[in-house]
Amino acid sequence: MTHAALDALTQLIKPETLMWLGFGVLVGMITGLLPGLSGAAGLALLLPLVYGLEPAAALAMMVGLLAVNNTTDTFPSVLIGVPGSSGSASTILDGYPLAKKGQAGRALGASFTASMIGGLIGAFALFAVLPIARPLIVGIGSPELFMLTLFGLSMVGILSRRKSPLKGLIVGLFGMMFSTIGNAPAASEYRYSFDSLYLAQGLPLVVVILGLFAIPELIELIRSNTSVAGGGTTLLTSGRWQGAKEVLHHKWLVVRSSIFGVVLGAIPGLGGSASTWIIYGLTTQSYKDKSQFGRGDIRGVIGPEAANNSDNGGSLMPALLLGIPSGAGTAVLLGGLILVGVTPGPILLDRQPDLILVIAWSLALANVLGTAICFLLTKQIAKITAIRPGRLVPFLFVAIAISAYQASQKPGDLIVLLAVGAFGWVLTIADWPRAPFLIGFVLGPATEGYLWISMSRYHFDWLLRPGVIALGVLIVGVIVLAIRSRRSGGLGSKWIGAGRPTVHPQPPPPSPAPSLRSEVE
Amino acid sequence: MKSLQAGEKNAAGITLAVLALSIFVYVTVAAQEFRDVSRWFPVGVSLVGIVLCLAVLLWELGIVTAGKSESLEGDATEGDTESSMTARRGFFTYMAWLVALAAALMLFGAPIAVFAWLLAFFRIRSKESWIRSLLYALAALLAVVALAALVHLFLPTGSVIPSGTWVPHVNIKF
Repeated sequence: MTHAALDALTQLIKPETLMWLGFGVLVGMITGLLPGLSGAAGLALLLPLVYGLEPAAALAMMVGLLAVNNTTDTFPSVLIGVPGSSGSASTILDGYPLAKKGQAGRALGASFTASMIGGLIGAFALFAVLPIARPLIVGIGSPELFMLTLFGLSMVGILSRRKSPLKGLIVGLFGMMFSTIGNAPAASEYRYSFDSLYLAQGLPLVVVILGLFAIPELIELIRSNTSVAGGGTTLLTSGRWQGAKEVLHHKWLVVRSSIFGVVLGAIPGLGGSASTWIIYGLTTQSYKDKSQFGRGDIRGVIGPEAANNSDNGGSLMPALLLGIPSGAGTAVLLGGLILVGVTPGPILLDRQPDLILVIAWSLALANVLGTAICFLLTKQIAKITAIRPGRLVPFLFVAIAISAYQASQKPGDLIVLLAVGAFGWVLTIADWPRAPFLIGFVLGPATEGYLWISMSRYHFDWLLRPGVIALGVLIVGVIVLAIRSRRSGGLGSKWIGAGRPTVHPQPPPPSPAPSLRSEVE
Repeated sequence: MKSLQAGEKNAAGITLAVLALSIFVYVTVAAQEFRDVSRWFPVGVSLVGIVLCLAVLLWELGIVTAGKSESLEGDATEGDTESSMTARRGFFTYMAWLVALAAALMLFGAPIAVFAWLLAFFRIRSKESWIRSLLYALAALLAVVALAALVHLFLPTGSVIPSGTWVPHVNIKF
């Protein structure tokens, strides 16, 4: 195995292959920076270029792009509270409040370092599980996948534990309900589409994310007329290395989140956005002192960022070994593989295992390269937070509108963007959490699909499968923990979250800008 | 966003719960037209939602009728109320600007809409000088057109003046 790995590395370090890897990294960084443009869009852009390339060079370029997309998408999430991609939406919860305290550099430094380590762990996992991955992936059935989606949904209770688990649940159910708009998974009929062709396709995730998080934040930012960093611009760029050191201080959080990221990434439908929300919930739950989560806790940045890069290693496992894409990005990657004459699936494992090792190396190298470039650019890009909102926000409004339009290129994208934006603002002023909506919206289709397959294949017998029981116990444990963490008030106020003033353990950040900090309450 | 005064927050919570309840009820009723396999999931979700909304409503109404709202506990100040009203007014103002941007994109396409909207916004809302407003709007227009040409962004074309179709696409050859 070591010999094969070294052979693969030799294939990769040819100047031409390295050049294509670098090009993929560059394009991946740009698509990550632009809100609404995903890795899949970037890969689609590169597809015409793979014709005539050596398979190793083509793979290096495509994997290079995928690897760093989740590194640079942190810039807009932390600096302006607009998610660079769906995978970085959870980073906003703590990253943006840190930027508002003038600690954007610290948040970014921690994010890049965690991303790099997560990416390296993902690459190593891809390398390490080659001999055993196939039986592992095939062994997880629809019932276990359904329970995993329920596990993700149980995070709703954690993310809204301080504000109100009941309100959080309602918002989460709302998200699930909106995810049912469009084509039904189990029958050829449309639900709640009102005879609209646009709604028949369902609401695009990227539009929902931009509307829910970006619109209310940007409006409040420009209304307050105070830059994101407020007066605290001195710490804007100086905290990069402090952030990196904090990652090393929380090394077990990074390792744990990365491993979970790999596992969740390997499960079709649970990678990307869903896995980062699950990891965020687990991160908040794994510490005694949870008071700063959602108000600028660096651990809330480190956990999800490590996971969303290690997720790449996981998502490549079913794609390469079974030919099953776990998301849009890996689906386009598989198309690229076929274009260069490589057949993904068991044949690839049997006949060209060296290419899988080339991919693992590309993933590792691209993560290191991407992180180095990000560290170099942080100083310049973090200055965005010091710009007066009156000058910055109009550009962002335009960028968001055009980004949203990329989802399906129909006017409906803009209408949904505004409607969801208004809904997000109403949730904020009513003090209801927004994050559960996204969790419900992301996990709803997978929950319905897996439950339907489980019921039609096993009836109720699937409830007795060992994996299902184990995951059920885990879910109950999470819910019990969420309840116990609210032991300080009366029963009603504990669950409804009303009638009791919110007590901040320390003065709020020096900014009148909107409070995503309260998302975790 | 400055939190609303407690009484207002309760009222907003009640409004939201009523709205959510109505939508959950509608979803349940409308789902009766679907086949069984398409119906049970939205109905299941909505039924749980209805129960939870009722619980929240009862609780919030209980607080209001019992006079236990935070506002009566002396937590909020007059300044807070003013802030929340300003926040609301500000939100509707900027939403109106966003609606104008969306409408302009749909009617006139991205190049005209982006330039005209940014020029108007910088001049009227941001109170920038004419020269700065023009420069910013022009820079944004060039950035949008360049991105569309290079990375094949899809721009809204426009139904009245289809300016979005004027943007060329550049095919990069290696």
